[in-house]
Amino acid sequence: MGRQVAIASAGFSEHSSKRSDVNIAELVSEAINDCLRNAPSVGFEDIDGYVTGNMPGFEGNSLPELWMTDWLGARNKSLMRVTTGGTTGGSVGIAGYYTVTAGLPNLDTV
Amino acid sequence: MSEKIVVANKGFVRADFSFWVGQYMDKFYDAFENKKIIGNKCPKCGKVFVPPRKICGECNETIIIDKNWVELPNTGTLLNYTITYYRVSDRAGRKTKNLQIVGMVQIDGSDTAIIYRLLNITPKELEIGLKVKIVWEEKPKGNPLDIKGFVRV
Amino acid sequence: MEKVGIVGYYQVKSYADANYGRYEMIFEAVRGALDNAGLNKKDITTAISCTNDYYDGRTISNCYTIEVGGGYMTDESKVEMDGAHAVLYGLMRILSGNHKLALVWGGSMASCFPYHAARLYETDPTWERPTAYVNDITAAGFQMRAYMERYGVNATDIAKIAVKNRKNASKNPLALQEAQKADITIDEVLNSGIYADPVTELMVAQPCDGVAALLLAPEKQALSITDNPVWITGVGYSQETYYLGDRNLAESKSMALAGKMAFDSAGIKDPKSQIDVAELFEAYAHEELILSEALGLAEKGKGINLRSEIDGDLPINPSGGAIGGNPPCGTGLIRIIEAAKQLKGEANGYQVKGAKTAIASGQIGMCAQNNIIYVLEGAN
Repeated sequence: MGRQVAIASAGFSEHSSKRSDVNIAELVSEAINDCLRNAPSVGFEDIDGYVTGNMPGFEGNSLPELWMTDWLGARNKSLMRVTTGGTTGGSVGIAGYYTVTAGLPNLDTV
Repeated sequence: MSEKIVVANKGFVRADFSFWVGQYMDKFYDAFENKKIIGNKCPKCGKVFVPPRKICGECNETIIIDKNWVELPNTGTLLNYTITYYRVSDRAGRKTKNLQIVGMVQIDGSDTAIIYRLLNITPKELEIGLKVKIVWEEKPKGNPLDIKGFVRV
Repeated sequence: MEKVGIVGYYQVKSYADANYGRYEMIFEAVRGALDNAGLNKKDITTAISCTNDYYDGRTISNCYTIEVGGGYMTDESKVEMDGAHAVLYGLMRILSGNHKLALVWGGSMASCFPYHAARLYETDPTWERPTAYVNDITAAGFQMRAYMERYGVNATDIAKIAVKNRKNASKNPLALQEAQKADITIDEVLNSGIYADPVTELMVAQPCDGVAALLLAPEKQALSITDNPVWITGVGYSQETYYLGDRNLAESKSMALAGKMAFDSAGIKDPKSQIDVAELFEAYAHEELILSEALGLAEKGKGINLRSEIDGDLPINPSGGAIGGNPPCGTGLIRIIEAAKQLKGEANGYQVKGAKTAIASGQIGMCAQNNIIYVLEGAN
């Protein structure tokens, strides 16, 4: 029933205890650009959907994926948001897997 | 559900947040201290953004910070407006007795719009396409509150 | 797309200030959905909730709702958007083949938190939030004015939508009591006080208290649980860019893209003739026009010509829509449930006759920045 899913690439932003040179949106875009750099044959135009997550109460931003749309490259793309506190990192990965394995039309690369 | 009493506990959770604005907004706010507006331009599609952005949403292109800056005038065109008695803060949304006119203004030379109050104008005088200009605070500190609002030119 | 069945649902009535504790309301919804399907907690293999940390006043809001929300010892997660997006995640989990019964619930109690202040946290913290000129109230005003200016529609015509939905709500026993007005007039709507000019108070879907839940199952299991499942045959979702100044507020690009995705996957070629009833999440009266035009149900600017009453050509929001009750995080889910009721013939008092294919939508963000839409079909 479900499709096979592969993790094609991963990326990080630069880590440091204080990154005073970027705002949250720019930090996220660093990670996304790094991820795409590590998969040279994939560009923004190939990405069909996004799964994002954060910790809204801890960050002071509610639904930041909405204002970060352009920084994510998610303009006019499908986006789903999953948050479960500290476990969000894992939950987002799992939700990404489900998005692709569900085989919804036109959602091949997420 | 039969007769029951639900107890309500009211509380206020205080959490102050400070946000880094990033280098692009940093330069933007530095220009505020000189009562100037600057934007940046996407090298691919040529769109000018106020406030400046690192990524152009259309092209997904990163706009390098050392160049692509554009100086813009303090004037603009009114694209849209709304009038409300409500004031929203991060604690509450309240209905007040005073009307506030909020307008969406496109700074001349840019391709986006910024949203601020319109001052010294009555609802009857509002129309889309009005030419307006920025009213600055006496001593700008480099934050969004430096712009008091817009007035008719 | 493979069919997924809605096999049970329950909606707690919407209240302006419910005499309920938070957990009580969630339990009633989840227990009600299970009873509706004739199933038990042990049959659930995955539970997806939809709540929002800022609305619940707690971080990690799903942490506290595990027991009442059917999440104890199940594969549980939380989607923090509209209830309809939580159904999307439940749908994906069923389509993966890993799960046989998914519980999805969502809702909150707007009487317990400052709604507009919580929505202010969605704005850009580096630019818009300190001045708070951009908030959900002014965004509504901008959107309505943009639509009126672009297409020459006047406020009187838009008020008709508010009248229609409030009249419809009066026939729906689960709708918000304050929204139920069978004898409301256009003048009453226009003179109800400025919300954000040109939007007036009665054109707004007021946030309230409410929770709803539904159960999803793959085709084979759905047919063994009930002989009258409602099939989800298509889904589409899309998100526009954020800044209001970058967007064309007179139309909804995200709904157009979401609609295309959903209609393609359901095989709908001509929505206007193939859809029998629509339940759209309209946060304001004018949004119903903008969204129905984006879906191709009417030409741009001509949404007001659509005969969308319960006995009209294409009934929209026979339940009253969001104007009939808008519990944050639950409204989209309720739209899906109301559409399912129409297809099962259970919408007593506001049933659209012979409804076979329905659409239900949800949204999140200022001026419907992210839209999701489902195509549903009845079993019989």
